Amino acid sequence: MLRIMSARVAAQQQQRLVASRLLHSSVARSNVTNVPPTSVPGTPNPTAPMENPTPATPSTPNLSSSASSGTPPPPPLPPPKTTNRFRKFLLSVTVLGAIVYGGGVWFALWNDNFHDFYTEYVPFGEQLVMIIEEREFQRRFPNAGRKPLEDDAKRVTVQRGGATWKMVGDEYKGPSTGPHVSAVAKDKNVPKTETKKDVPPPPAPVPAPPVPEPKKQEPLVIRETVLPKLPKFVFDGTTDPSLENVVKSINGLFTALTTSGAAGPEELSALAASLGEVSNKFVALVAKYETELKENLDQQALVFALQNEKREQDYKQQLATVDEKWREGYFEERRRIMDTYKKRLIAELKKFNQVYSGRLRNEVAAANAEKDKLFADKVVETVENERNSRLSKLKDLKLAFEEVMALSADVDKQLETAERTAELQLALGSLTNALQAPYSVPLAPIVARIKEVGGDDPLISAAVAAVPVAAYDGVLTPAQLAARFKLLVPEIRKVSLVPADAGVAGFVGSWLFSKLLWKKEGKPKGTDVESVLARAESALVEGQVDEAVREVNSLDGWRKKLAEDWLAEGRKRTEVEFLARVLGEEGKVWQYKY
Amino acid sequence: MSAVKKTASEQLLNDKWDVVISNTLVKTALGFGFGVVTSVLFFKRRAFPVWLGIGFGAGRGYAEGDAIFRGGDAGVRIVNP
Repeated sequence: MLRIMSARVAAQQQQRLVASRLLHSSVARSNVTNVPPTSVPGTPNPTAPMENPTPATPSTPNLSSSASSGTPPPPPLPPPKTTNRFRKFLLSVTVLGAIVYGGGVWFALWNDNFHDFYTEYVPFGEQLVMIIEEREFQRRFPNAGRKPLEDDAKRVTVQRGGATWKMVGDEYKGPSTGPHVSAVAKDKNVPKTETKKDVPPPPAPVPAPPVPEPKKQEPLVIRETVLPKLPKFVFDGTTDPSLENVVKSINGLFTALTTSGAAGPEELSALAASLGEVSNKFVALVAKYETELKENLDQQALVFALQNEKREQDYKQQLATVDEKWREGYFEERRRIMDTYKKRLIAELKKFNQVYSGRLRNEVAAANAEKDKLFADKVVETVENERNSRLSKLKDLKLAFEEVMALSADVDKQLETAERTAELQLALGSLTNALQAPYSVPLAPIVARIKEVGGDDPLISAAVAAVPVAAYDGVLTPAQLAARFKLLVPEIRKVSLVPADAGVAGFVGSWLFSKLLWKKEGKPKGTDVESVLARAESALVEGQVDEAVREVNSLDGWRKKLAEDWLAEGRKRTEVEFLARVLGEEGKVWQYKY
Repeated sequence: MSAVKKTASEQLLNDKWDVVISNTLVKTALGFGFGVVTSVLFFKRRAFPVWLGIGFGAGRGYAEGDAIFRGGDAGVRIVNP
């Protein structure tokens, strides 16, 4: 890689060298061509742009001078610049990586979310974080995981608790030591600590002087038995083996001295006597210490007794205090309970009182109601008696009054009917007038009035209902019908000869040949079109609209189709006239009826 | 939109005549036009294509007139006013 990079750098340097040479040569040429720059002032110089870079280079004068000499010497090469790009790249990558990884680890230790992200996605991030965490842990707890437990006695033993299958007292009696119980090897050399400890004695109020431990209880009695030959030192009644040994060694010494002849029996006796004195002093000393000890013990016993008494008094006092307190509590509690029960009793009494008084009130109210009912019954009975006896005549009066009322109503009804009949006659008169008027009169108000006056009369109702709705705006008068018929007749005449289902030729033929037909007048017989038209016209002249309608209605085909409108009008007029006649008859009936 | 005024019954036939005559005129004129064009384009301006066209147009108008009088409205488009 490095080799490739260096080769590339060398190639670049070579290219740059060649380029600079070319540039210098061109500059030289331009300088040569620009020697007479003022020869053509007007013409633009094509090489002028090339002049611009040349003044920038300081070596231009030299170059121009050399160019003018003709053989351009090679320009001094600039020292090859080492860019150190690769080194810079490596350095920057390293620094950046260190910053990124270091910052990442620091932030991962600080933030849990980033910790997860970092350890999961960044390569080697997990190892780095683990190393840092491990080092931190080691720094905090240097002995973690290695230090054994220091003291067995400080261990906490957890008592077995809860239910078990074992019977009571059936504990396991097997070996309580061994690797299955404790992983720590038990030190055999360590003396067993005392598990049972006496209760420490109460501290002595008066520090006792150090008393030498008495070796034996009995006082030492020195018994000297002077043998005829050999004095013997005897400690009477001694049980101390060391003293016996001393006595034995002294006696042995005596024997040795005697046998060796170094000392005579007198000397030995004197020695024995001095030893006896010493032993007597020793005994006296022991006795003295014993007496002192006894005195001390008595004193201490007295002090203890005093203390005991004092404590007993304190205890009794405390007992009395507690007793008093308990008694007070007991009385307090009793009083509280008594209060509570008393309150409850009062409340229950009150409630019972309320219930009982309520019941009493109810009973009183019931008795009152019973009394009221009896009273009301009595009143009713009395009133009924009165009514039956004295007020019975009022019933007769009432009957008579009702009869008079019925009569009056009858008369009223008669009057009303007569009035209605008169109104009906008026309405019918107006209807007849409307039909006979020389112009068309709206019939709707007249019909409505007839209907209103007619009331429940079925004939009038049916007649009114039969009036065609188209006639409410009025019907054509006979004169109007006749005029319209005069307009209709030539149209009918044109198609008088048209056969059924005729085409153009049929219509044209009918039109032409109908001109040749003989026109009829009066009331001719026959069913041909001309006869029918003549009869209808004469009927109209006579004012018999229904007759004319009947005649026109007898036409067929296109004749009837053309006359449809006129027929409708004529029928309307005919119907209304007929209904007017019927209503007039009914009006006459009404007049006779009432 | 205002309701179309109903034709009075006595005017029914006149209306039909109006339609038939105008229709026949239009068809005849169309036949004449086709005849003229055909004569000019294909028949060196001879007269018979014109007469033939007129005949076709008039015949067509007559036939449709028959249909109109018989109750149909064949060949006629009624445009509502």
